[in-house]
Amino acid sequence: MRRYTRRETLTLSSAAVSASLLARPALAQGKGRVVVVGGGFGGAAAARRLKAIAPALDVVLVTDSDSFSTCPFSNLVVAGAMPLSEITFGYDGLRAAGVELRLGRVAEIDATGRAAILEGGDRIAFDRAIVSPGIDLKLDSLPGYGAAAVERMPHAWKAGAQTTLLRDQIAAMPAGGTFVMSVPNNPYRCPPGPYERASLVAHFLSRNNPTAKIVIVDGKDTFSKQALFVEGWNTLYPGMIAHVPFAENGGVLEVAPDALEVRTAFETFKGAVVNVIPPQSAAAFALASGLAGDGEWCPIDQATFESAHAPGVHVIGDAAIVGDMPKSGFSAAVQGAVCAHVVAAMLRGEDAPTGTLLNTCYSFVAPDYGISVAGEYRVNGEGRLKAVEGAGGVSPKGAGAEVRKAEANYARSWYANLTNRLFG
Amino acid sequence: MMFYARLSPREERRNAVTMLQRLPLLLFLCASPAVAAEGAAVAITYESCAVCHGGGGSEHGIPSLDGLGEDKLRERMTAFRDGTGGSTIMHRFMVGLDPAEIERLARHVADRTDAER
Repeated sequence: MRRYTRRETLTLSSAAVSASLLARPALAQGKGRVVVVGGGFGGAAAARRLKAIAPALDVVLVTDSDSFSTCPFSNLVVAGAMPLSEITFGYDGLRAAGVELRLGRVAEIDATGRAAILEGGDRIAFDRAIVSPGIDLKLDSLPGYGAAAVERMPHAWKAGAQTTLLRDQIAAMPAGGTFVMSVPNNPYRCPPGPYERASLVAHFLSRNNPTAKIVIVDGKDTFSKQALFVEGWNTLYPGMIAHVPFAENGGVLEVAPDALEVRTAFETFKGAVVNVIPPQSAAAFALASGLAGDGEWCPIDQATFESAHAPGVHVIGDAAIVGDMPKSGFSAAVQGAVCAHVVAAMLRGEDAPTGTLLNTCYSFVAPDYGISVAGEYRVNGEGRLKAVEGAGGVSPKGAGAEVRKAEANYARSWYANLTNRLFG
Repeated sequence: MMFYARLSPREERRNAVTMLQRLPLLLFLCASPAVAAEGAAVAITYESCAVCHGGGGSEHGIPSLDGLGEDKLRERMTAFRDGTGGSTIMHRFMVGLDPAEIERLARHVADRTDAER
């Protein structure tokens, strides 16, 4: 005898729910307009998944560029291991899926008037908005740094021209030169990213400039996957990378672009090439729209992603405060997809669904040496998206080369699958 | 109730019996918010699976979940949960799910539609 499955019941019960809503024509048919702001992992996932699960909705994706270069894998570009073109994606796949693309920069989200206002004044009305604006770099928060200094001391913390600029500077570094990195305190985009960058630059230098050195001037004492990174550095690049924790540098006081120096409370670090990763905040228009209140990151209801300051506006990705989830492309893609379900349900007048969310941050210690940190998250009784105890965690220490190689392959597979799912 | 051609009499009988057996349960469960919430929850959870396993698979190793039946999916996830699945990462996720969640997730993945893919 074949047992009844819950799924079959669900189909029937949701049909019953839909029937009961037919008295409310627009909602029952799932009509309405959702404006998604931001064309990165979060925005693309939100727009594409929303159009797939609620095809009757008008989904408008506002993005300020007709292509997107991903921060994940951009350290492989810095290290000369792949071209920028391989991490750059257009939006034709989203268009073909029925998402309306609108090229422009959002100046403000008007939550009261339910509209996104573009620079230039155009208003795009919405029933709900999903805002995935990413970060802005606080270039002026570091004395001596600023917009004029980013050519001399690239940040390369938004992928694109900065990525290839840093790559070219490292490739042209004199023999035995020092590559200095200034890394901020938390929170910032991609917690393990600076250490992956140091690793992959070391990979490049060990083959092309083997007497060169790398110095990481850190704004904190410990960092993501630290034991695994250090194990890899000792194995692959012995003596090449020095990590100077906050306790040993006292904090960066200023940078000097002309002298290529990073000056800390205790010491001055001079580089042949200097990479300054500045402190960060949610994107400027999110701050200007009041989505961060008095702070620099956007607080949300962590079950629905709805802004604590702007009803009807959901904030996802690096700009939002999402409980224990890190600021990663993987997290943004998960949050975008989940937020699509939430918004579709809310527009139907139903309760927002909740479930389990996952994150994996893969890092390359070398192109064929991968490590990972994973997390599993659920909304707890206090409404916080909390890491599930006992789940998640990092790759094993002391694992063999075949395990590291497998994780490098899985990292590449993840990247290919996700970018294909969102942009293909 | 109408049955289409090519069902054997035995299959017809089984289908009819199954439908009748399901009715009381269906009526009960249609009114159950808990079941609706579980169904919604599993669709939410699957979105995280799809960030790695979606997108059609690739040459580098994360397997596509297409075409795996519910039983195979449940067996694999349970093995990962028990630490006998031979994985780099899946055991870190499955250990946080209980057997009922794994069962629902396996069913969802096996039965998902294109829009859910």
